[in-house]
Amino acid sequence: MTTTLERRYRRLLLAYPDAYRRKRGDELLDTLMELSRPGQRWPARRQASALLLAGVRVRAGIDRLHSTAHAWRDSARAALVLLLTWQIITQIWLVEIARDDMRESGDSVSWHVLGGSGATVAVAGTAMLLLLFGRYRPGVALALLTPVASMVPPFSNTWDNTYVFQILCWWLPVAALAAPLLRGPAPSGPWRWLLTIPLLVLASALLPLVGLGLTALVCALVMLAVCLTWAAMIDPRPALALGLLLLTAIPQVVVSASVLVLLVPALLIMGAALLTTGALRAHHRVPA
Amino acid sequence: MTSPPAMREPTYFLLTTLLDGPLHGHGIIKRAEEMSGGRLRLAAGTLYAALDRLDREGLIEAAHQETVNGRVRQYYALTDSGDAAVRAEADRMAQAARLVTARPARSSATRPAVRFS
Repeated sequence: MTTTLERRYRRLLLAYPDAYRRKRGDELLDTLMELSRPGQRWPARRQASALLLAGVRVRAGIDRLHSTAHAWRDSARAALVLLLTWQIITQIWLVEIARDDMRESGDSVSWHVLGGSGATVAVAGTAMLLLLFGRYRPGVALALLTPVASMVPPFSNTWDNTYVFQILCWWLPVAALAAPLLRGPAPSGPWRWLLTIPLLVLASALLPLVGLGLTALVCALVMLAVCLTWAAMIDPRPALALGLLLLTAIPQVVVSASVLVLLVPALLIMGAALLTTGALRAHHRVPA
Repeated sequence: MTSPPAMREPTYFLLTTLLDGPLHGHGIIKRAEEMSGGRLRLAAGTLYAALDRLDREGLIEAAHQETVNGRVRQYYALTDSGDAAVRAEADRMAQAARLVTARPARSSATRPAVRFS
């Protein structure tokens, strides 16, 4: 007969993925029931927190990390994908700014601006997909070509010397992040944590620019704390990815949005904190 | 040649519990608690995360199963490399301990006097 305690432990086991529960669920439950006191109706707090933490770790794929180098490679790929995401957001932002300017003057946005941004988004988007599917060589090649798309005819008919600086500011972080990918085997494990958590932190960090004032700042700090806690307790890779992104992409951020120059020291501190926490956790990733 | 990194204490006790033969989850937790003098109280979630890792590393393996109250009870056994790893760790700790135990304890009479000038 199923007892109340057993039912409650079964509910806690939902923290684990289905496949793991099918393989180990009964066995875990048997151990938990053997550890319980006669007449116990509620799961012990210690057991409950360990189950939740272990379940989320399995979902995050931390049990499939075979080495610290593996964690760094996964994080470098996530950081490169995030860098391309940032590039796409920047292009959309540039078109919006151009549209606002034109609205004031009564003209429409030039097709050069739209076409150049569209080409950049297409190249960056394709590079992102290739990287996500583990096709590193073509993915990295397209990622390097991303800024060039809007600098060549028909989108730009004249050569601007600042293009060299812009290209270098893009190539340096891409090359730094791509180097470990091209050297090691394809990473494995779930992707959603690696992308959603840093994206949420980035989005909340950019909220002050939209003008929500103190609420946005608090939101950004809370998200940063979530990312650091996640790194310390569950999976170091989102923090490593975000840290790598902030530390390698700062020149690119400054070039693409000069309004952020004042944020550079803050981004450097954030990046260093994330990278340190992630690196320490990656080094001591063994659960017991 | 570099030696393997020192084993963490929970891993050491976990492998040690299996030296006398295969045990299931509850058996491992209880034996580890006894052996460590109550210091190591593994939660079930932590234990199975460790068992998964040790299984992947080839230090333990699934032994026989039995069904109790309609639930599968899996027993775990040390592999040859698990046995070698825990014995190597014991040797390493014994060598480290000898560095201290081979020297006489300092009594208060032999301690140098601390002077304040």
